[in-house]
Amino acid sequence: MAGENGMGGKIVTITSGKGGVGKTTATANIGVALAQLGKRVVLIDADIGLRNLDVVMGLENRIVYNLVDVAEGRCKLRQAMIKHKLLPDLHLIPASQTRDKSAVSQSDMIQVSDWLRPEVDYVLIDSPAGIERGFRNAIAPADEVLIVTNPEVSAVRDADRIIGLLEAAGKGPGKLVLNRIRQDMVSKGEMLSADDVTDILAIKMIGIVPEDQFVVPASNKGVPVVLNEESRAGLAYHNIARRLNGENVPFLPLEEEDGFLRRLTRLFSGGNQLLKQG
Amino acid sequence: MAGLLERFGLLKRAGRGGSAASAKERLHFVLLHDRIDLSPEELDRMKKEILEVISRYVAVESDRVDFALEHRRRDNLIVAEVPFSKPKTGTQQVGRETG
Repeated sequence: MAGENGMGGKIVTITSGKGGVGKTTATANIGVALAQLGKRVVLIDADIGLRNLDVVMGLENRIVYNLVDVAEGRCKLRQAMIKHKLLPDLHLIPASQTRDKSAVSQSDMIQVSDWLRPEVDYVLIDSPAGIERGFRNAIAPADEVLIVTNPEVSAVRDADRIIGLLEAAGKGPGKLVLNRIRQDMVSKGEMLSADDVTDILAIKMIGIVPEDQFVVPASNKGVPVVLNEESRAGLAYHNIARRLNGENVPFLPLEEEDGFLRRLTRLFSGGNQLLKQG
Repeated sequence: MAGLLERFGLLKRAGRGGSAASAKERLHFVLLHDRIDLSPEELDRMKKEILEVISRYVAVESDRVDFALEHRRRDNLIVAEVPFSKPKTGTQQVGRETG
């Protein structure tokens, strides 16, 4: 799919405000899913000094050059692009682990993105947490922004702040990825539902990722969970990739762990407790 | 912050349900404040200035005035309830002067 300027790839930044909500996991999985759809994808880890996307992707032992080396002209862009083991059209540009956020500027990010645009279909930029320089760098080249949040008060509050900053920067409103939702808890009224979060933040949802037992083992092994066909979180990321790619993928009913409880809930709620999944 | 706003009569607490209902309610309060981005002093001054303007036209029952921040559908609202007893004399003249 063409970028907004009609010249090649689309630059998508994944951000959140709050740390630990699953930004890097989302970036890795959406990237792998897009590559599985036959797209040429480059992932950029913009979290300078705290790189993680390399380990989530299982590519940590192949790093020679990084984003700062590109920005400072020590290597060619190609040399910093690490090819994925299974998907030859998926590459990672890792962050530097030894430098800090001041090593890269907004114009560096725009320059690197402009170099990549004619070569690829998607550039996914993994933003650092926070609202400071690293975040500003990560959104500078973005055609589209995905905001990852969890169904928790602190994460939703930070997502709202990010949405406000994106709008002020002319990058808004962005689309929401709601991560780590547990339908059993939503049904008991002990967790915010996708509808609650959409209502509060008033932006479009691009995916709802259920809490899933396969996510942690996947990150342990460095094999993104979207490659595990048993994983419901993996299916959700796959659907996000398809939606990002312009497909109209319906949100599916979220299955609960406990079938009996689910049926009971449906009985008492007329089915509207049955949430969407994506 | 919600507590401060309540003290200034700018927030109203609604009923509580499970913890998700509580989360939703608390988020609405916190986000209204985050989004309006005004200090309690500024909110108080705004309230006074609004009442000053209304008082030029009608007699306001100031002890029953109620200001609230509310989230309704997609909108953030400043909702003012301003009871007045009767039109002030000379209201029409003021109207003519400003009109």
